[in-house]
Amino acid sequence: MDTAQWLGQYSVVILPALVVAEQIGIPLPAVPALLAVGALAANGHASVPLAIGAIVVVALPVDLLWYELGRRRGASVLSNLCRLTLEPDSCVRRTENLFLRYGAKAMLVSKFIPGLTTVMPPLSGIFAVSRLKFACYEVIGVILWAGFWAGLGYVFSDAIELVARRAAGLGRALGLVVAGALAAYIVFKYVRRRLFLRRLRIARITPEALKGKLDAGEDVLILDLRTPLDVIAAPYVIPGSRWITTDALDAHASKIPHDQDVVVYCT
Amino acid sequence: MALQLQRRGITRVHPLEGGLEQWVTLSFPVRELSASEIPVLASTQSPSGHTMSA
Repeated sequence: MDTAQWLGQYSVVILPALVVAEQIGIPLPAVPALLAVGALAANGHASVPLAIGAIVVVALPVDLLWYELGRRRGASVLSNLCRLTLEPDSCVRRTENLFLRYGAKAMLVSKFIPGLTTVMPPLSGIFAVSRLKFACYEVIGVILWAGFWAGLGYVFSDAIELVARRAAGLGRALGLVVAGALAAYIVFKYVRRRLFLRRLRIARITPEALKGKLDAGEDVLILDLRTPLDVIAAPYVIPGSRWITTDALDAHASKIPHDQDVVVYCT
Repeated sequence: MALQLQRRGITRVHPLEGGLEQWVTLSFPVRELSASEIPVLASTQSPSGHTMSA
């Protein structure tokens, strides 16, 4: 039995397993599998509605669990989840900004954005979105996401079959190249982040040292870099600091003197 | 964010150790924000137990 036949036969098991892996932060290729199932369905070897139904049945309880964790334990769940990603800072901010802009409706598109599918359910819990509303958006979001990719596979089944045949012809070499490129990318991002954090650790200032500078009347530029959510949760700042959001940073960067020490803080 | 600042040529960036939480724990002074300074959310709900660090 080849891979395509295997996928067609066990799509109701394989696809939900891939989706659950992504829900707990493991990046497995659910989209290529959905495309393949769509292409197989076009030739009568798989059922798209059955596959999507299986995904919904499995994905909903897992996301409900994340939702409840977010609701009961607050934002610490989100921070811990984002630590699993390669860029934790932008993960937290990107998710918060999306939620601030669109509210729970962001769940309709979150599955299309890598990484967000894991952090959106706990964020909905943190914001105390009602359970019914969460479940509705979750189901619609899954159907939209899975339906889009499987539908694309269905429509372009000939092209996908051709690509799959070519890839199979290249065999193990192609797999090694793709796996190698992916591994190199992850190592590059990880090393770059470690080096940057090391530099930041060296440059850190203690609260006592900053207080001393303020008491001595030194001209210190202090930037409050908290997200809007953090400011709402703790509506106070260090005296003399300026609050700047990520979106506004570009506009303000030119006004910050390059030859002055800048103290930044988050929550 | 610190990386973003460094990319824009602001290299003398000093992150505050422990952030605002540590500052408050040490009972150092803070300035309460006025209602007009506090951001307003599009969503009507407010976050619960928000102590996230970025």
